[in-house]
Amino acid sequence: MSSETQKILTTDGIPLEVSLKKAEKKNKIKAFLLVAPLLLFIIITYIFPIGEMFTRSIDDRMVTNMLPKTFKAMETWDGKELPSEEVFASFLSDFKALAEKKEHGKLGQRLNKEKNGFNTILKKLWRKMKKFEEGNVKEQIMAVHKRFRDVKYWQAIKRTAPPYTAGKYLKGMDMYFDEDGKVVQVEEDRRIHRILWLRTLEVAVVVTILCFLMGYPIAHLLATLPMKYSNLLMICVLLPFWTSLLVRTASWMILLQQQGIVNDFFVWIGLVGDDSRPEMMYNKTGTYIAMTQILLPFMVLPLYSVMKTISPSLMRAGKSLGGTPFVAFWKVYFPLTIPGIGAGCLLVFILAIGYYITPALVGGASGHISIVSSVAGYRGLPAGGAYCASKAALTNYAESLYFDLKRFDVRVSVVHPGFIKTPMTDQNDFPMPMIKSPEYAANQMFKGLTQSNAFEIHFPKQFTFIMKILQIMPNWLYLKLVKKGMKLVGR
Amino acid sequence: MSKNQEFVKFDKVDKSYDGKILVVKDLNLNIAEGEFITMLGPSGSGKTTCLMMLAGFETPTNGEIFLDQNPISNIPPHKRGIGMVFQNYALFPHMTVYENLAFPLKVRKIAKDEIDKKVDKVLSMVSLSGFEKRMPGQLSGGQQQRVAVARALVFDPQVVLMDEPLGALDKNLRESMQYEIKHIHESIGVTVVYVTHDQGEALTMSNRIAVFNDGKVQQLSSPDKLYEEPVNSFVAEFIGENNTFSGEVTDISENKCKVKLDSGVEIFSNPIRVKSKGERTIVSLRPERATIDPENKMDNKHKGKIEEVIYHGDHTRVRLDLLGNKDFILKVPNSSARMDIKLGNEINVGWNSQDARALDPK
Repeated sequence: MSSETQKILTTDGIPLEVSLKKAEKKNKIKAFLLVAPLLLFIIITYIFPIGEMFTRSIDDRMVTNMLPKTFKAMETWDGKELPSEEVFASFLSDFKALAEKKEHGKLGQRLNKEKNGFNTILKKLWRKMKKFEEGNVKEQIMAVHKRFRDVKYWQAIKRTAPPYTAGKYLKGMDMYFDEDGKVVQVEEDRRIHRILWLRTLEVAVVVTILCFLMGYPIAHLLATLPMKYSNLLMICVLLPFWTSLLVRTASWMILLQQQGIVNDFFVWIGLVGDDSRPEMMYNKTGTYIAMTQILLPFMVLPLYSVMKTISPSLMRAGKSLGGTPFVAFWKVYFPLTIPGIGAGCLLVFILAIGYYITPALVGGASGHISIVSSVAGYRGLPAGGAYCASKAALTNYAESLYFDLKRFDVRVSVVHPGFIKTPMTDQNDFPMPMIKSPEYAANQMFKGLTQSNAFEIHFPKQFTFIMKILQIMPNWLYLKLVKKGMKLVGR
Repeated sequence: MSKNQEFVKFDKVDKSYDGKILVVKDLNLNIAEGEFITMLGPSGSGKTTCLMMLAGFETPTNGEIFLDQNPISNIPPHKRGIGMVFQNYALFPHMTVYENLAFPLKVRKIAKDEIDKKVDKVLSMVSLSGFEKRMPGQLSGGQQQRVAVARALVFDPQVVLMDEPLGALDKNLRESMQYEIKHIHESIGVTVVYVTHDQGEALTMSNRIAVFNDGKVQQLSSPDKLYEEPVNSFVAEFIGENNTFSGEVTDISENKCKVKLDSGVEIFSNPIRVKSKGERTIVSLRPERATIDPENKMDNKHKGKIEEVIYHGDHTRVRLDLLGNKDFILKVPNSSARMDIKLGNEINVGWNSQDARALDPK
């Protein structure tokens, strides 16, 4: 009661706080409206997608949604012995529902990641379950494959129950949950992610240090020089921003390559011999040089803005009080620039961490060149002079490239398709054995490019097998066989 | 204990920044030990340059500076042992008051307990005991100023330089700081070289004042002499208020001359910078030396018309049109007797020829 009476009122008798809020409301709305477009933009293009990505990265509801009844039945299962008849029955019912929707394959793939061998037994179950009789599901399922009698497989299903998982993050660190649910590392030769992390970190740290070492004196000079010189210097510092990434990177390539300008200069002044020109590109040196140049302004600008505010009389005071120039710098100037150092290093480091393009082009080439040749390139075929010759050339070219580009970590592959139904083969008037659809060809190529590391991608295998035998035949036999074959088809 | 009269000595010092213009021209200046000397002058007159040369942040283009008979041009600032108070205090913003004060002692590798003792002492001298842990940003302008003074004194320098240290303070604070600095100087007897463009500050604090203009010392003397007996028209105009008449010398004797003003009237004045008949001159007269209704013995008596009356509390400033000078200022002490000071009235004004100094015509 007393607090009510203590409230300050305006002359109109309205409580002061209410009146103040009313007066400020308009300003608040105005301020919000000014921010609103940006806020909306950020929410739509940034917060929402990133939130979505994060949810997906830990989302593991696939199995949960596929086997709803099973998980319900498993709630009472202790997870030590084989589950009860009820769990088996629910699992079968869930699986049948999936099979109707043709999604049982997905389940197999997903569970296979959890426990090897799941895919096979689920396929077998799918085949056998049509003959299942009513009742006693547990016995029947266990009869399908002995693995269904192994409690570990049922534990694996139960492990997928939580709707969220850290599995994908673990994979990024070359680790995974093993069958017992423990975090273990993958085999040594498959630990690629961590090496990438470390290499990225190393590059970022070194580039940040280089930028700091070079940027600090420049920023100091910028902050202390008279305006007319400092403006010119500032333009030079900002120069990397003026040129496009592509031009800039290309010029670094011209400068840094083994027969490039920098190497020529080193040879000319006698620093290195003509036959021992150092490699400055396609390795870490190139990465460091190019990235340091591009990121230097991000170090200089924050440092400059901080140094500009430091009064020159502070250094003078330090000296007049008896500090040597170094002491004055170290005890007075340097501590005051720490905010700038922090901002600059953070900026450069974050940018360097996420900087893939420059290293990809200058520092260490890697990639994949695939050349589409044909089985026609194996041997000279009748009525295919130009075609066979050019395809054979392509195949040989790919073989040469394979060796030349290997040291740059560029994979070279060659595609050898058999007969594919295309407008070109439509014009052929001879029989084309084992002709395949373009969709088939595309599928095979995609598989070969992404899922194997083979040099040759060839299909259909039955046909290419025959062609390969023809290829290794001695000439007299080959020529004789082809002649006979031609007679057979009436030519 | 005889004091060294040439403790700091500027000997024929020239300074140029660009090789074309001399900012300091042929400066010869002796500063005695324990003296409080002020370099006073308008901005760009070279006074701060002189201070910077003494501190070691600028080198003389020609000539030499001696400190206690030793040439110091080749000694870097940190070895000169000269304390300095900067215009904007230049306190280290990332250090506490204690650390600021301990800085000059630490770089001299003085023991910790000795440092504590000295810091305590100097803080109590500027009456800031108990502020050791504050950061400079948490202090008021006056307190920062005191810390800056304390820091310049804490390592017992031979000379303390102060570069317009009170420029950023408000008027009341500035005045009280003036006395404080003066008292500190008197109590520890350190030599102080003080730079300011504020003549009031210079007159209050200094033993001697060097008036700078155009790179040269125009006059070097004690405050009273500077005010009462300016040696040229620049000093007369720069220091205090001044009424001027320009004219030509028509008659001259030992300590009296007759000057015919441009309006045709002749006045008697004191020949300081004129030697012979026919010379042009500017006659300078302090406002408080002219009186209304002069006594008979005054040799200059003239009539003037009141153009403006400004009330100043303890006195009234009266602007007269007198002998062709429309800006003749009179200071009249306020008393009920003077009721005739009204706009448009004509009054009699007189002064002694001794107080009207005939100086150079500029």
